[in-house]
Amino acid sequence: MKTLKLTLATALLAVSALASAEEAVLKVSAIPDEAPTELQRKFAPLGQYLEKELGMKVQFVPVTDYAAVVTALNSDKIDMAWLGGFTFVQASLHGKVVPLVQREEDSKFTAKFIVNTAVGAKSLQDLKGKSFAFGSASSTSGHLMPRYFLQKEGIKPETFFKNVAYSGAHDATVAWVASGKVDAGALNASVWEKLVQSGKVDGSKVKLLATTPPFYDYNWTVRGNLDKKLQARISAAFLKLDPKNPQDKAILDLQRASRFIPTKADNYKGIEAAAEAAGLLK
Amino acid sequence: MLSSHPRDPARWPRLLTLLLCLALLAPSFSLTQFNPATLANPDSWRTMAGFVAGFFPMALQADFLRDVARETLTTLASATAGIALAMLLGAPLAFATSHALQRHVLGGERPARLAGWLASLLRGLMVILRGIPEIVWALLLVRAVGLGSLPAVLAIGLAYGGMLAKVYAEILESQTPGLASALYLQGASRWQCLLYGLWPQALPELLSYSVYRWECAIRASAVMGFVGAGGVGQLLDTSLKMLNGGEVSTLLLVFLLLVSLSEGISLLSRRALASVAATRMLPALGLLAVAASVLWLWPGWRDSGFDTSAIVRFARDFFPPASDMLTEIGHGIVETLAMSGLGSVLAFMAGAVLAMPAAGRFGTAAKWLSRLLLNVLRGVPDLLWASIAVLAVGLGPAAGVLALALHTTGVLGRLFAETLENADPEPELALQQAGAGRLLAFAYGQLPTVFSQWLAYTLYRWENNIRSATVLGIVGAGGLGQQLYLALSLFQQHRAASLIIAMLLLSWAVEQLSRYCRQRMG
Amino acid sequence: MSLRFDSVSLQLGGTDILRDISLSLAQGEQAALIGPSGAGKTSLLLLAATRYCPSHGSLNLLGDNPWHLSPRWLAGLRSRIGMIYQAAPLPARQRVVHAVAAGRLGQMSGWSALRQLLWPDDTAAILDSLQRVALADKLWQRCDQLSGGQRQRVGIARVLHQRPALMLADEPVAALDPRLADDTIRLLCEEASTHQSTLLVSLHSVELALAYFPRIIGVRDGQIMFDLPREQVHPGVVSALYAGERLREPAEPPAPAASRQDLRC
Repeated sequence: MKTLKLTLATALLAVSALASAEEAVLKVSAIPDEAPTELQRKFAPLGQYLEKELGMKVQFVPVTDYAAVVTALNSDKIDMAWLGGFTFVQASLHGKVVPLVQREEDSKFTAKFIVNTAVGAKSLQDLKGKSFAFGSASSTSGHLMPRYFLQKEGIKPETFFKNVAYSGAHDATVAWVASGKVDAGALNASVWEKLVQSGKVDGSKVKLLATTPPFYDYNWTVRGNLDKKLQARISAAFLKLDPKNPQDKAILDLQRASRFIPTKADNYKGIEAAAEAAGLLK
Repeated sequence: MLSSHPRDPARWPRLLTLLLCLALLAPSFSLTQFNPATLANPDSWRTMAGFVAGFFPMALQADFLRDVARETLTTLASATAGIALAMLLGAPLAFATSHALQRHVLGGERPARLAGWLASLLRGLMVILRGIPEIVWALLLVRAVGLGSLPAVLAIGLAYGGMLAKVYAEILESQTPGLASALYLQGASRWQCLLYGLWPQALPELLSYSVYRWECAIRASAVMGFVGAGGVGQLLDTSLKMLNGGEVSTLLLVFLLLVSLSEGISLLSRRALASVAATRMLPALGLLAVAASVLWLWPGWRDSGFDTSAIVRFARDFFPPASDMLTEIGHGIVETLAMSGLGSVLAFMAGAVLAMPAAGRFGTAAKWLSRLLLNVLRGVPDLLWASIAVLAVGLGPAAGVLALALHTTGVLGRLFAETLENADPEPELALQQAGAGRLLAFAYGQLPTVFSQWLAYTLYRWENNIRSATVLGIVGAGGLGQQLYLALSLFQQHRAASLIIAMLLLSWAVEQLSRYCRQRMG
Repeated sequence: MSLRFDSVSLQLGGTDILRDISLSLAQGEQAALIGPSGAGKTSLLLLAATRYCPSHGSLNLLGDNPWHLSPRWLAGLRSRIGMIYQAAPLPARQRVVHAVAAGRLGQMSGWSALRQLLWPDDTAAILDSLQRVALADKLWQRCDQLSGGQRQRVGIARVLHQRPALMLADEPVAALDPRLADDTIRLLCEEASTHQSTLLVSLHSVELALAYFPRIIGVRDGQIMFDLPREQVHPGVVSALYAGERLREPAEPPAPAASRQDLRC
């Protein structure tokens, strides 16, 4: 029995010891608001750019769960993450994190309500008794802000809709509404526009129903105890991306950003208040 | 005499039982929003056909297949490492709690109070370990130690550790009692009693059960990807979310192959256990497999890190559990019960129908076809069926009903076919001889014998299904699981704690109830 | 002619069970089959019950060759042939009422048979059959709660309920005590006479056969040794029939059980 315990303890110790061995790598992750393969594709050129600018290895850690990104950042398992407004609020409530930059678009971000054309709804009120899909429960533009907006319209999703579901990602929401798995859904405006532009939305099946008022959304956030100089260099690298330079433009386009601008924690007070009001910060 | 019992004296109790069952079942339909009429609706058939057509052609791109191969190995390795951990955890727990090795049983000494308390405490721990479904352990551990295969291994280790401890203890208790006691009375220690008195005769059964659990662990490990714990499940989760049917069908095929492979290995090794050489070979092979698994998983673990203080902090967040959600929990429990009940009843009916051809009643071709179908239904775990059913019939408890019905049909159909094959054919043949049609000969000659066994199997599966139904919500199929997943996503740990306690209580209550029923039925 | 075998032989699994059997029974005739164990008595009865198809020769039952009939007609023929087995083929958990009712399955419509399974309504006739084997008080009991002798009598009651034109019985009283055996054989003979049914019974006990049956057929090694009226069956004939018989024990196959492991995970 003792030997068993000893073996177990040694094994655990060995794992933790190996894990804590530091390497000069910047570990970056992103909330999985789109398919993991899409996230990796989007990040590849930005990662190479950061490697060049910072002079250190940059590693992308794919994650399939919003909350896991927040936990990983709070427990220092990753150094930097692409967070949504709500996940940023969650992270800042559970530990020290520093928001560095955001896309210019993120200061006036919106969410879209879409509906299957077969439902024949003209307004949000027509969705009474239908099924409805949010994105991930932890998503700002896929859940929090649409919910907050619905609440302001006097709609409590759990009782107003027949069924409330969480698709997990924005593109999944569109696929679900298009296929009729759910009648309507809410998602991030930028993903919606990307899908519309690339022709991946069948206009005969899905149509836009409403748009939320603008709010602050995504940003790049680092863990609080990351070296301050490194933080500054990361910020600078992002801000240096110039839309007039074709190379930089390619990177920005993939991020669906016109350019990056500095951001601060106070920008997200509104999100926090909305989360509080929607009862998502219990 | 002639008119002493003109009427069936059991007619009212029977009628009442039937009515009670119907009365309980009827609200289940509305509770789970499961509408059988939609199955008959040509519109939904067309949707279904489109859905199934989406599964073809299968995705066979080289880089996708490479991913699949890698994740399949990870799944296998996680299950193997997880079972090893479960055995390390289960063996000492079994030793400490088995009644076969208590001093007062061995030597008639007065039970020591402290040791008794300790044993009860450990038994309580075992109940908690196995009462929380492995997928919930995985969900929690993904949050506590990060993504990847490590939480899968730990989840299997913890949940199956509790289960193995209980079964190991029972196996030790079922051995001939005199042997260990004789040694103890000669002055041997409890350890020596175990090694010399119980071990030799119990070893094949212990090994056999462990191998069987390994087979179950593979199925469990394959779906853990749904909560982010790596393996084929994670690929499947992504493909399902993106409605990529081709990838889904490839993964399902891989999944079925994996399950049947592990079933084959497990069957072979359990058969081989009859020989002495195998009882020596098998542990050696097992150790080799565990070493290989750990080697394969190691790079992933090194990256994910293991921070004990983070786990403690994470665990502390759960206290105190939220106390203001009784109605939500009540609703979740009712929904869970309705889902499992309806799913089991549907599975009973479908299983009975499929068992006929599977028992060889309609020729060889029908037999193998129906067996294949039953194996596919059984091979795919209910959680996976649920994630597919969510796509097919939409989110909510109806998908849960369908998933439980599909998986349980596979399990019950096979068992039903076995009872049919093992039942005495004489009564039915005699009736056919007397000119009864096939259906009537079956109803009067075979059904009375097999029906009670079928019912017993179905009740047993229902118990299992209640437990499964608590977690189906993780993929969006209603019940307590959905609330738990949401609470954890929103960092509402207090609420999550209450939900986990509710799951534990439900699973514990069901276990006690079914044990009580079985004791009464004798 | 109720039953006619024309040089019938039967092979099962390559071995000869019965060879060149010729035999006929007129409507309403009663005969006993005697002979050592393994002589082929049971097989002969099973041939008459259409369980087996003869390998050679032809068979006529109640005016038809069963193996030239369509399935539908065969079922009709079978519903007029009743067979009492050595061990009554009753499902363990079935209740006596259904076990007896099953005798008339061949004459009932499918629906009423299924309905009766839930809600038995033909109890008067069933009770009547049971009363004749002195088991009227067991109507609502389960078969597995009865003794071996009682189960056997339930089996007989089933055939009485069936009212067949041709009644076959394979050692029907082997499990009964001598007095009850006596009563039962008398009952079978009386029933057969009342309904003008043909009766062919195989018996272990030569005394019983001689006491109740006017015609005795001796079978040995798959052949008919003699077929004589009772008066001509001398002790010498009987001892020649049983000469050198050895006792054989039938082997019980072990009952397989589903392991509990299959139920989990």
